[in-house]
Amino acid sequence: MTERLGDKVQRDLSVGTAWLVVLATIEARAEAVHGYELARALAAAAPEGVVFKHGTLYPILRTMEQEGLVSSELVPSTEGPARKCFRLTEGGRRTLGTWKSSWRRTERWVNQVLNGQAKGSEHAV
Amino acid sequence: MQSENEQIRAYLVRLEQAAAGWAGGLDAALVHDMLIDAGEHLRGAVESGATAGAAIEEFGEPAEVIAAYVAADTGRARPARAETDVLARWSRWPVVGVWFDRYAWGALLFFLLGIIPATVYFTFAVTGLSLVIGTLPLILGLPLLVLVLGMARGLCLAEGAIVQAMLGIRMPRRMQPLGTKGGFWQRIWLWLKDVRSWLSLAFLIGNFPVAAFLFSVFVTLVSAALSLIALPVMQWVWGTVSFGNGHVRILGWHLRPDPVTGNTVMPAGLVVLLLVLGPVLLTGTLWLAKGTGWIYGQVVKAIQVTRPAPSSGFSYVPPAGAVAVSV
Repeated sequence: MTERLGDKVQRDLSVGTAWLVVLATIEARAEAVHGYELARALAAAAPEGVVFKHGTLYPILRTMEQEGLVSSELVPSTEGPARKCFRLTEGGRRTLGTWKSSWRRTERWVNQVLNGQAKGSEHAV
Repeated sequence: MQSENEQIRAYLVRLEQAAAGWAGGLDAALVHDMLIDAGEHLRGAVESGATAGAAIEEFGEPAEVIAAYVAADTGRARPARAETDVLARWSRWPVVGVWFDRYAWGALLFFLLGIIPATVYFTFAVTGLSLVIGTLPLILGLPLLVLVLGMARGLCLAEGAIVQAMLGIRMPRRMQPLGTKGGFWQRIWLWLKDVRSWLSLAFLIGNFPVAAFLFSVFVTLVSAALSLIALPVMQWVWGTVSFGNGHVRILGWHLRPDPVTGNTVMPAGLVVLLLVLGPVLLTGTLWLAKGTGWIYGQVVKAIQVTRPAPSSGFSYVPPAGAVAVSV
């Protein structure tokens, strides 16, 4: 039961932060980025214990594209088919700014609570 | 030992089978988009130097991938408004909820205005085909046919986008890529043998009489409903209604105009009856538009997600040099 709840908390955390991380990773690239390249960058940056599956990236990208946060273009490839590459739109940049502020507030809040609890436990000991 | 492409194909078959067995069923357009994404990603991975096995493992188990699509897609096909949205809550009322359903009004508007794009599509298809038939004895005929088929698919995809926006039915967002490399005749053959190209062309032609029929039906129903509502309102505002100088019969009531003014005063019973019948007819029309819109949307979707049988060698792995089109 506790394990299942732990999985759920981890899943919720991952889902909530995935959007922010994907948008930030696209922003970090100067050029339009292909899905595979983006997936590899996200997997490489994933913290220990978190396995990022590439296949879960595309529904997020599609939704972001529909919402106007990213735009896509077909970039010809010398190695094979033209690749669909993504770049941040102006709206995406603004949204990312808002999400970053929101994330920092959440992070401060969580840290504050966790640090407070740690201090509390030290006092108790 | 399976080749890289065979491994990818086998994975895509597993993904498709998992989607087919997904509890509660999955939207055909979602499955279509998912298979195109997976095929393109895995091929891209292999071309970037990864082995197919590693790329498939990194991509995720079919169940994980499907779950991600379902989670992202839930509520997106019919962009559900927030629970606080009054219209969204009212649209869930039985029967009269249709008055507050934006997609019911969207469907009605779609069928009233749909005759315009349908005429454009029909003109394009008939002109294109006539040109093709005329130039077929020359070498120009086949490339022209490919151009017409390609444009027919593009128009069908655009129609899908309109259907999704106005009727709220989820449509595929991408077309299955077709090869552009290989010999000239090879590429022409790829387009000619693709069943969706022909279905799209058939749709552009067949859609015209359907759109014309639906236009007539909905114009008649909307006019009748609005007239029934307008008559009592006119009498309430002006005290009388005018049908010209002739006698008229409405729902069994024989109305005679005033010989001096030419105006007619409807009896109270008729006014009440019209006030009931008008909104009832408009409600029925909205339900009919909504239902017809659903059927129409399913036809457009079926054309776009149709794929040849796997035994024909069809695969969602895009061939080298493929061009993907999306909306």
